Amino acid sequence: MMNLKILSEKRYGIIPNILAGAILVVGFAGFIDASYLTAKRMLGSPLTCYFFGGCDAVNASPYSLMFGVPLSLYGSIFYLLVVLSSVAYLQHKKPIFGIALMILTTLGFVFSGYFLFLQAVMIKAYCFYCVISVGTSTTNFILMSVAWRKYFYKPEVSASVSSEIVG
Amino acid sequence: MKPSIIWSIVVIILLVAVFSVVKMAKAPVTSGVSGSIPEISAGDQTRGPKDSKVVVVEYSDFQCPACAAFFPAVDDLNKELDGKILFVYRNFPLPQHQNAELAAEAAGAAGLQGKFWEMHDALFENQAEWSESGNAKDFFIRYAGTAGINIEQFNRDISSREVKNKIEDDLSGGFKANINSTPTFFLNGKKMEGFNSYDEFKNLVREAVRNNS
Repeated sequence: MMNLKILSEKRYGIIPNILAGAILVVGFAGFIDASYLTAKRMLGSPLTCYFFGGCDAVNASPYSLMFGVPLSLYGSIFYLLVVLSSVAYLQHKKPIFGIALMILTTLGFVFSGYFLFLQAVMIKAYCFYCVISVGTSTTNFILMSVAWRKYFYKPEVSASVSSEIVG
Repeated sequence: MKPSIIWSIVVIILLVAVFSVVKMAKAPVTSGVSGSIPEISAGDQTRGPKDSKVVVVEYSDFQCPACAAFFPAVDDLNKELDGKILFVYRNFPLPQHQNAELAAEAAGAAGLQGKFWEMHDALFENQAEWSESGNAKDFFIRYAGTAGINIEQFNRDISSREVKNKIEDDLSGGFKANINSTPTFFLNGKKMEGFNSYDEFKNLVREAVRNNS
């Protein structure tokens, strides 16, 4: 039993504070961006189209809702979870928070790709704050992927430990 | 540092962020300095009595989704304050909208047969079907037919110099007034700002009517 516990803990390394901190900062920026969009949407401000730029058309599109809830609200909750998970990781360094960050940032990246597709192909208009959000979630996915491969996930450690146990 | 203190700081920062963001989102959009718009002329497309004390001028683009979203509010206002305001439509087709200029020409051509507002309404009501179409003109001809417009004349007028000149004049007047977005409204020559909803927009016009009656 004890050996198994060692095995599972040894499998994960420590993400440097600078990387986890960067994920926290980018996640916080994404939270502000998504919350601003949510507030704009919920306060019902009139839309505008700009001469050198796009329109607020994306926020008025039916694609901006999922189950009757604005996508930006899901975005705010998503970024809030990223912020809380990264603070928890920085504080406790427990692998579960690192895994949560990897799952969250991957989901964020996949959904960002879908939202970019919606804007480019379905709505044929871009919204500035949505593109910013695609940027923040992609940055966080890259940062977390680097952290995962370089520092966090250590299959070779678990393999060596397990061979010790067998031996 | 104690975990409870760290979490308290995190919660406070998040709450402050949410509070600031809501305050920012509530702030009315202002575009800074605004110049004056050209006087109402005989060539303008107008609705309502010419001697009205309250004049609303809209600089708009038929392909702009925001203008289409505003259309019901403008329509309500024109019906509610019928006879009390002069409403003027001016073209400000944006470069990113491929069919905006053609739509403005269609409305102008309809105007030469006295059917500008019928085409104006049809363009906004059906914006979704023609805005990204490669054959937008086919849709415009259909709307013209429904409005009882002579199609042969309409086809000649749509590419006429007269119609194009009016659009160019509207656009240059808009640039001189520092317009950079659509729809932009002017109430008695003053740019309308500081409204956060369609209702607030309507209230500004209603108030002007009350003050001038």
